[in-house]
Amino acid sequence: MTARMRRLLLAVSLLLPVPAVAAPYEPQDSDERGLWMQMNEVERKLQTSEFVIRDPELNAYVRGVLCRSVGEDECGAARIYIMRTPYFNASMAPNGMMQVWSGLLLRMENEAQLASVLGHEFAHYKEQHSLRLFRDIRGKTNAAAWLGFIPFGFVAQLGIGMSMFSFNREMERDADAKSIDYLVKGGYDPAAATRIWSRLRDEMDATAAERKTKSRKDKNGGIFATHPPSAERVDTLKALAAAQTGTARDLGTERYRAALAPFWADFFDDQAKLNDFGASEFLLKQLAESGWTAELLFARGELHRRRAQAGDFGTATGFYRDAIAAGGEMPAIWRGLGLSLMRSGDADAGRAELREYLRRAPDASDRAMITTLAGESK
Amino acid sequence: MIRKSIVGTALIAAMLVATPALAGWKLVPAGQPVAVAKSGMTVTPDGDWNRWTARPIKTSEVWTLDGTSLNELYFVGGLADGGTLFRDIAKKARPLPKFSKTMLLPDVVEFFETSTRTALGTSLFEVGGVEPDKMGGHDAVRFSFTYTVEGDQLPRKGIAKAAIVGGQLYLVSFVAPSIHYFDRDASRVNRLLDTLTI
Amino acid sequence: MLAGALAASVSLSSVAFAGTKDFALQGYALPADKPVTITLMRPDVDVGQLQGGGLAEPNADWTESARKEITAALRAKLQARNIDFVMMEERLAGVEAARVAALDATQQALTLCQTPPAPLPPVEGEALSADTVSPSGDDATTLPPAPDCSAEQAAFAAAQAAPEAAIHADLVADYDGLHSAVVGAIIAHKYGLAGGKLPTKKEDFAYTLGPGTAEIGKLSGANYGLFVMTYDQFASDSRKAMQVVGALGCLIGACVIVSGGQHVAYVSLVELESGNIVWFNLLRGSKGDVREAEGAGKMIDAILAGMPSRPGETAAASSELAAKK
Repeated sequence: MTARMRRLLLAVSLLLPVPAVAAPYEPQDSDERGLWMQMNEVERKLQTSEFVIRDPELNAYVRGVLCRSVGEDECGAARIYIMRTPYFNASMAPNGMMQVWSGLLLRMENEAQLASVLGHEFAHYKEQHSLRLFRDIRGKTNAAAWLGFIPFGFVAQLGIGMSMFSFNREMERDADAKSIDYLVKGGYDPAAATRIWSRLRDEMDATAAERKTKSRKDKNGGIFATHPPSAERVDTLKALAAAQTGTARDLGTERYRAALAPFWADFFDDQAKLNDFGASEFLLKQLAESGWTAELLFARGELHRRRAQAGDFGTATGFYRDAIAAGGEMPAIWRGLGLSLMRSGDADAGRAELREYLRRAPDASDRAMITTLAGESK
Repeated sequence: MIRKSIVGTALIAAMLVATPALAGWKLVPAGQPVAVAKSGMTVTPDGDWNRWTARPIKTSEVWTLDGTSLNELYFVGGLADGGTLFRDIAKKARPLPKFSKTMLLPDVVEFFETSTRTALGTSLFEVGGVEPDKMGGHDAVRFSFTYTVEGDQLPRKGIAKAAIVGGQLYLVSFVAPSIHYFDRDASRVNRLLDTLTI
Repeated sequence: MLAGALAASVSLSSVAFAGTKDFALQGYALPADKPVTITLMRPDVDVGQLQGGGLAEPNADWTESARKEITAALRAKLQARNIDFVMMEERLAGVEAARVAALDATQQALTLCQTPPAPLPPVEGEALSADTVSPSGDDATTLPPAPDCSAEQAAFAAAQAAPEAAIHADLVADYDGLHSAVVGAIIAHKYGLAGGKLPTKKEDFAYTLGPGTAEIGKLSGANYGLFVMTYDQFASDSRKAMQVVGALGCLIGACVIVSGGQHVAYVSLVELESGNIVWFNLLRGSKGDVREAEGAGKMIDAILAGMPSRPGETAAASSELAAKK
């Protein structure tokens, strides 16, 4: 084909109408239309939001996982928005707006786990759980009002609550069961879902242990609006998965790692800057399951340096040195190493490492400050 | 409904009900040194400001020109070892990081970043240039930053200056919307930061 | 925003005022020497039903009709004052449609220019003669010289360089966000709601979005921008029952006053050349049912009552009133 013909074809294709899609589901009654309207407003804001990650490859990957589990004929109902938000959450609103937070992507170990969460949210959507929940709450608040309880901004709370943790026990059970069906349909390992929840419980234990508080894993409220990731839920999922025999057991660990490779460092950095050492260390160890790379060792050094408790600077120094030994070349390794040495009392060695940082990163945004700290070389 | 609605709902709540003035605003006149944040820190503004009579944390102070949503100066004077930069309102679920008297000046910048990210629950926070400075003869750091809060649709810019003196943190930060407000007031705020003494 | 928001603790008490209260740049009048065009930013309209429990239940049908009636009332009211009215959303759609059309048209023109007229079918025998057959076997050598398409090329490049819809949408969203922050400051410090008056701003009303709004002016072809927010929650039957029960309680000395519906609205007029908010009005309480033409008209009449006019216009309006008497 000549270049001229290609241009002509392109011109023609630009003039063609967009292929028609099957008529989408329309809200049926007043309650439903009201909810849709509010969700449409939220979605309108997402169009221009800086928080939406628009990377085409990552978006195509997440959509592909959803489509493989719920089916090509169904997945078109979802409009996926990947949000740069460092917490564990995903949701699907009744109008088809699906949000997947970066904190969730950071926590999934493989494609099957992601498929399980997406399938779970899709099941809530299919079964119109948020509409049922809204009607339920309306009934309850009317009753509560007679007792003088008037929650302000309740709709806003309801909106936030429309997340993977907010539905009632029966709805969660329902969505859990459906998500197992979706996993089987997509050829994924149905046991994947169980591990998400048991790991989330472990992560919450890690947070609590570090803070010397009681674990919130069985606690209602907060992001776990009405239903914590309880032990019972883990057991139920386990039983459901065990009942599926003779199915495919694809986990897609390698595919998942490859798709997330360009992103995990940023996503982890967001997590590490939330002052939650326990959870961050837990997640870092998960990322390192197939080996500690220089990047992971560096991140671990940063984690200890920022926590700054007794012994942390020595520990951090060790991890930075390991990162260098593992071939790490990011200048920030020497920055972290220098600052750690200075704070652990080895000022001269620290200054030398900071000068090495400046040598490797001549255009660093903190060059002027670090130069002052590092002093002249001797 | 995510956080946009909370912002909207709070505004509507304010319009629907009158909130008694829990705290008021007092004039900070131009041209004279004024002690801030119940500490040994003083500053000499070259224009009039408004000072909030409420204090987010004990040794802090908030000033504004047009309203805190448009420009906010936050002074923290003499924050002791173990203290938090803002009020630790979600202590159980999302505790704020604690200041340590052994921090170096670059650590203070990281402390500011982590405190702000945790308090606002945002990932869109970036530190810009970090430079050495002086605060009343003491070594200090001056840095710029940008951030956005989810649902707010309004990117903000800021500058801050900090020093550790006698094991205590002295920090002044300024935040304003990136559109118009930050650029309009940045030079005025930089001049104000130059007058800080301890 | 940062420290303040984290420190704010809000307690609720009874309503302080109902009706409208407005602020304007001192002595501001719309220009008399040039046409006034106002672009209406997408109105933020929310109509629903307040349940007994205080749950505000959104209602799409009510919101849709209120949005329609409010927009129609604004258009009628402003046009009656000889002010042109452009809806930002329609304008954005129009600009995007024009961009796409220009892109298509210039591309077609370019393609047409670059496509030479079809060569005449080769005469038998001539094509076989060795000196006219190029080595590669195609007919390139028989084509006339490439036509000069530089004008078409330039037009196409210009059309390609025109900003896409997303860029305009971002601009509008940015100013929407900034406007909300400014309104927050006005509500807190001029109305003293959840705030208090600022000593440096006690006398005058000086709030701005900055001169960058000129871009909005260019995009919309308007010299003023109008932002409108309305929030109406009507009382449901269960809510009304609570009002009655609350009032009955007064007889036995334990009364709880439950407000019926909740109605609040504001409008703000921005001079796009400077970004200054030249006029702001807050309406609390209901002036009519915004879901219907009549009620929406009354609400808009009430909230626009104090809007700056053009020199001479007020006199005309009041003489009209006088004539009616």
